[in-house]
Amino acid sequence: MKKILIANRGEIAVRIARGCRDMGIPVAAVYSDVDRASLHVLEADEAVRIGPAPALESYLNVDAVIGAARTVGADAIHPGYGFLAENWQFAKRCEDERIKFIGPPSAALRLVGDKIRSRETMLAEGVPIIPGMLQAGGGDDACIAKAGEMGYPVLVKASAGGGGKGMQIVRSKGELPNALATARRVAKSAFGDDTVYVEKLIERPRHVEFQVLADEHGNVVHLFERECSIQRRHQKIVEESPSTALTPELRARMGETAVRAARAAGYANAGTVEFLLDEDGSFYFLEVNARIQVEHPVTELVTGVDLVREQILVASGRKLDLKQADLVQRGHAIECRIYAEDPANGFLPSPGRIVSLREPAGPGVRHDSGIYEGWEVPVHYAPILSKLIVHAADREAARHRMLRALSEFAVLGIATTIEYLREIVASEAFAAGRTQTDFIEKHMADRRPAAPDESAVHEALVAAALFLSSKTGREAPGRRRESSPWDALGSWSIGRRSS
Amino acid sequence: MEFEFSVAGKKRTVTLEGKPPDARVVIDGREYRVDWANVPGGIISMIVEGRSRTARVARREGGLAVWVGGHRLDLDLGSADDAVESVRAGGGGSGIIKAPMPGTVVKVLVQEGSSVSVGQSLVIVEAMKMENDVRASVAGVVRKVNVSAGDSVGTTEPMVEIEPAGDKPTC
Repeated sequence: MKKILIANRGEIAVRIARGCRDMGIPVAAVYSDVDRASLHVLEADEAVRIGPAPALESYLNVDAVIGAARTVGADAIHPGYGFLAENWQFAKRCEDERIKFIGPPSAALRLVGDKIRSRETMLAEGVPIIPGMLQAGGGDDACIAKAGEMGYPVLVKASAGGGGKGMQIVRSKGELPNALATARRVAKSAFGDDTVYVEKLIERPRHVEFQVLADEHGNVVHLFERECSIQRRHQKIVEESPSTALTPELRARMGETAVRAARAAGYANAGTVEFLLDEDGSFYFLEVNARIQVEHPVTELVTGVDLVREQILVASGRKLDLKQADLVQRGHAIECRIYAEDPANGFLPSPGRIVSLREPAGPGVRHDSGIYEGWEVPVHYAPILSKLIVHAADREAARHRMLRALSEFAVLGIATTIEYLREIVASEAFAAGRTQTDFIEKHMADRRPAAPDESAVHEALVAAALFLSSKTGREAPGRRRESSPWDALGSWSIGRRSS
Repeated sequence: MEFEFSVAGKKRTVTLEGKPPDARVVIDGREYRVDWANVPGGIISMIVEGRSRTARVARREGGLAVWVGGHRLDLDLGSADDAVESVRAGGGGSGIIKAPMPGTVVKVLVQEGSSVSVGQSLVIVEAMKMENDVRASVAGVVRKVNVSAGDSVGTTEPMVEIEPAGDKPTC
């Protein structure tokens, strides 16, 4: 490949750029007006402006992105994750314009993006999907029969709409008729349609996904799992590999199923097959994520495979030189996603200038960062700042390494989720590997930010006093407001506000 | 030199005397011997009774943000009452409602003359792909609305001004 344009921003654009440059391939970045000084622009060989801040007018603007590729003479576009990465029309446009889209063919992208078609394809392939009535409709008798067949507990769901409206959990046959009646009533009133269906309820599931890699010659391998059950509001925040819930036998079965799913979809390049894993070891296909994922470094550290490099090689037409039998998991990796959100304030986003930054480093620590000291975090995009990934010989060593790395991580000027993540990783439940999708709800929901311990408070007070008394403190940049009392202060006797 | 801070709502007094390597800091009657040096980049290296700590300090609204030894703390300047006043987005009992973070106004839910209760959503502000409700901190009547949908807002301009009903609440 002569030149790759990265149609993305932030930490993933920086990571992909490094991958390209590792291979000696020049990189072109795109940026919106607020991203002119963002790290992914600073780290590229060329950069093209694609529009004003709003994503719709910039990173999601297909014409602008294609135009930028033409301007720099890029022969390939890497879409990263989010934005246009899973937009099959964009992939098709690239194909029409003879620019290589580093990802699956547009037809495969289209198929896996359609939940119903995906499920039908997987069902035909013998890939397990969550048992339920594929076709809604049929009266109460059909529902009761299906529930009996699947086994309890089951969910009664409205066919016409989502959001869990009208959903009923049913634990025994006796409860089902009433649940059906209630669900129908609520569905009728919410959606104007009282059609319902039953689906198996997976209780306390784990979200376990498998990384797959397929070339354009029909070779497919899996690179094992990532455990992604720790989620807040359905957003993953901590991921790891291996999963504490998988035996070698279960891993082999799930891996083989993931490969089968990828083949069935006609997939090429890197992708992820998501499963829900029940406590009894049954697993069910959820969907295919047809992109390089946020948490891909977890797999890279455990397998030693550079996924972005493999993506570029596959897109260049090369055959995979990875053989399933040669792939192994070594040690344990954990990732924490670092967000610009304030856990003490309802996780409100925290844009602003990063006034002071110290990033973790050292053995077994990888920080995929999109930030730098002095950078202004914009309000227009998702608040992910960076990913902190650690690798060590086993899970406990990795957990301690993550705690060490989080304790080295200093950010001032914006709020971040660093301390919140530390509490998760330090928790007894996490240490014991009890990571199901209800982890946050169960262990962190009633959490009050821990009261700072006295010696930390004293050290902070000493530091604050030293800061205010020093030349640095008087002149330091920081958020200076027009009517700051500091500008009015003459003598240094007291830190009280002047009125 | 004497300083007054609030930490988690509690007032703390700190005095600093002398110069490194034998400076003395007194906090709540407890005296510490401190050696310290400013490291380029706004970093303070402290050795407090043999314990080596690196500190980073930055200004924030209402006080200082400190990171030291792996812990991040917010210190408010002035008394505890002042701290609560400055930290609460919206200005507390005064009924002046500001945005808690910079963003774009999506929707204004009230108008001049609207009666509002405490906690009622007044304006929806979008930031970082999420919509956030900015709520009334006092009950009363909306005296002024300074923004409309599409406006960019920062954290200093009053978006909505409420005439509090009855007596001002005490902190």
